[in-house]
Amino acid sequence: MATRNDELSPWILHFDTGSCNGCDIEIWSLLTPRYDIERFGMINKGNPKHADILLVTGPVTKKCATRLKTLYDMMPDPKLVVACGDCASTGAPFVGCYNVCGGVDSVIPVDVYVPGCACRPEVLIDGVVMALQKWNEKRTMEEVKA
Amino acid sequence: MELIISIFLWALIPLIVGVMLGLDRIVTARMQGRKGPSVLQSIRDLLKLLGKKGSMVNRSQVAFVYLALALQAIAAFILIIGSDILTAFLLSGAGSFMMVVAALSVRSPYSHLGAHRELVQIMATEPVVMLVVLSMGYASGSFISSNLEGALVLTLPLAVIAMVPTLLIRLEKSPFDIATAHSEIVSGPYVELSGRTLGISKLAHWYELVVMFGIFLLFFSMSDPILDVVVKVIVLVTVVFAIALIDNSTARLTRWRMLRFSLTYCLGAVMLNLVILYLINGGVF
Ligand code: SF4
Repeated sequence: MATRNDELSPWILHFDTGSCNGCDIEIWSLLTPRYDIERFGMINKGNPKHADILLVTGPVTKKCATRLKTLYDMMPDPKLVVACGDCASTGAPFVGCYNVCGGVDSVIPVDVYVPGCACRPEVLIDGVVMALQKWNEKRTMEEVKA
Repeated sequence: MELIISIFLWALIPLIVGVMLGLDRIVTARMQGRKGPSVLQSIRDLLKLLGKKGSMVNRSQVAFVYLALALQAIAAFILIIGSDILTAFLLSGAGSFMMVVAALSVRSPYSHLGAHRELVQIMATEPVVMLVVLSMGYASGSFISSNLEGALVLTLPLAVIAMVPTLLIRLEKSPFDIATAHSEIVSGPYVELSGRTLGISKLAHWYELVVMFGIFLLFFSMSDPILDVVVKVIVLVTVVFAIALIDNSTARLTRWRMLRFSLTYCLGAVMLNLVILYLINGGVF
């Protein structure tokens, strides 16, 4: 169970790098009364500087790659990245297309891969919780670096 | 003894405001058919932000944010120890202005847009609250909050009503969530702040809310201390419910509509109240 303040208040940034919108709809459904992620303290923030967790959907198109990298760089440490859906995890059917780099991990480091086409909201919540468990590791690494 | 209690209360402000905002979030969630977060969620958010290092755009922005916190905290302290309301209000106004300067000291256009809107909000709230404070002074012959007459709500009912939109504007709630409009300009003045600095700016905002709500609650002062606390808590909870209801049932106004609304209806209501009070005091009625 999450106990620390940062694990109890993860703020989310969602970025679509070229998805078919299937996974995006599932992410938005997390905000509805049925899944209501605010009960875990999660809020959707439209601002990378306020966010703790980056949810990425879709294969990374070449145009989006630099934007994704910029957003990632703008997020303050410690930060977590969750690749949502098969496309974001591996590039899935779009691997090798002329305009696609591949999965999210071809551009930025990914902490958790959430499978599914589209990924189910329940699995997404699981993915974020799993990412939160990685938080402590990241913090320790940062302290060592400092 | 009273001073010690006041200092204690002042130190507890982040906790009290955090719980109030948490309550607001729960009520909002229930109105939308959701379960909502814990009542301590806003405090957890604040602690998380204060523990995060974040990035800094430039030094002056950070300095202005800390200055805003200092001014707001001093203003809240002055109000709580029962001293001059007018000083507390003016210091808090200066604190709000520091946030505007902080937002203008970076190059992000969203931050500038937010700063301009924040200025319009200040233009909409300050005259109303100023006149409310002056009318409190007129009604009880003093600006020292511990010398104010009890139950001012009975002599100045319209001023109390006129303060509700001001509270909505200061709480950044719909229909007046203009500066931080999240779906339009992301988070306006806060856009370039992150980590600890964002936490400090939130804390400054919380102290600002204390000054506004403090002035509002002065209308409900009672002579009996226990009755005083009970009445104030009831009023506060009612206001939180009312504000959540208004927030969930209205759409965002444009900034000029907000300005027109508060400078005509709200200012007009306080003036009307003052005129009536003047006539009653002069023995016309
Ligand atoms: S994983 Fe499926 S639903 Fe999600 S973006 Fe790819 S194709 Fe669309």
